[in-house]
Amino acid sequence: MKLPIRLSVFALIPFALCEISNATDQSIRFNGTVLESCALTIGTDGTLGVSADKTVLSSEETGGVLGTVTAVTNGLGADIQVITPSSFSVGPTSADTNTTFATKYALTGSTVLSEVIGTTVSPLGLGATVVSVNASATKSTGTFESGDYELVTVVRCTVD
Amino acid sequence: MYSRLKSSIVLTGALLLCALPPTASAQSVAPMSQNVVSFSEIFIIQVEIQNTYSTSQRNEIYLYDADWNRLTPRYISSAAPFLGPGDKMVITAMMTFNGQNDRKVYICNTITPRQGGVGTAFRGEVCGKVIATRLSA
Repeated sequence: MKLPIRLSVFALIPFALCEISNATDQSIRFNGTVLESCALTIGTDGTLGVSADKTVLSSEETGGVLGTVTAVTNGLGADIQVITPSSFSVGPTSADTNTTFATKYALTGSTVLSEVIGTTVSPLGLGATVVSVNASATKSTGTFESGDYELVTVVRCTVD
Repeated sequence: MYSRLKSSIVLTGALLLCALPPTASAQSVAPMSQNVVSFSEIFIIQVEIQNTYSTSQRNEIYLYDADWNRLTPRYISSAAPFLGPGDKMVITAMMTFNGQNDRKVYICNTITPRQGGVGTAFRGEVCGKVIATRLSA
């Protein structure tokens, strides 16, 4: 009589284990989303040098210094471009007369790109990229008169 | 006693994780890409902007069409907010479909940290893309 009782107790053990196993397998899920972003930080403004004949103001002339902007992305969908200014923001009244503007930029860091013209749209790599920007203003006729000059160049980060 | 304390620590941690915003800590516009739908001629755009600089900055909000022509919104909650270092703000803008069924617009957060000097100054412009679709009623 004792043997069938023992057998039936042993028969219940797998079910008991199964119950214990089910109890320990419960899990709680945590969901989160990190949105794609692009952050721009202006590092250093540039300086415009003047050519010997005073027809060119450029960051690549003697005394000129390029400017830098840091772009930080957390995804691979962001693009960068530099918008060439159409006029001086500071300058004598004759500053914009017969003047054409141009920009160029190069990328280092997470994205490496040799110098291209400003309007070129370039995809950014993941992480921090330093954008080095050169800007210039050239007079087709006449020369730049004395005074202070300033160009404002737009560095644009967007997604396509 | 110990297990009760442990449980409460785990629960508090989980609640804190849920309370954290889903966005990264340094961004100028989020989300960078979104789709919106509307049954009317008007659609709403909402983005969160941030001043990522260590000093207070004036943020200027501009909207552009797909060809980067400047648009004037029907309504914008704040067109030029002044934000402290690291501060964020949610911007709401209202745009029209302009007779189209689909419209692509860019909403840009622009900061010019230094201007009025000599040489070349830079304006940082971070633009989120919005694809709006008009549904027939």
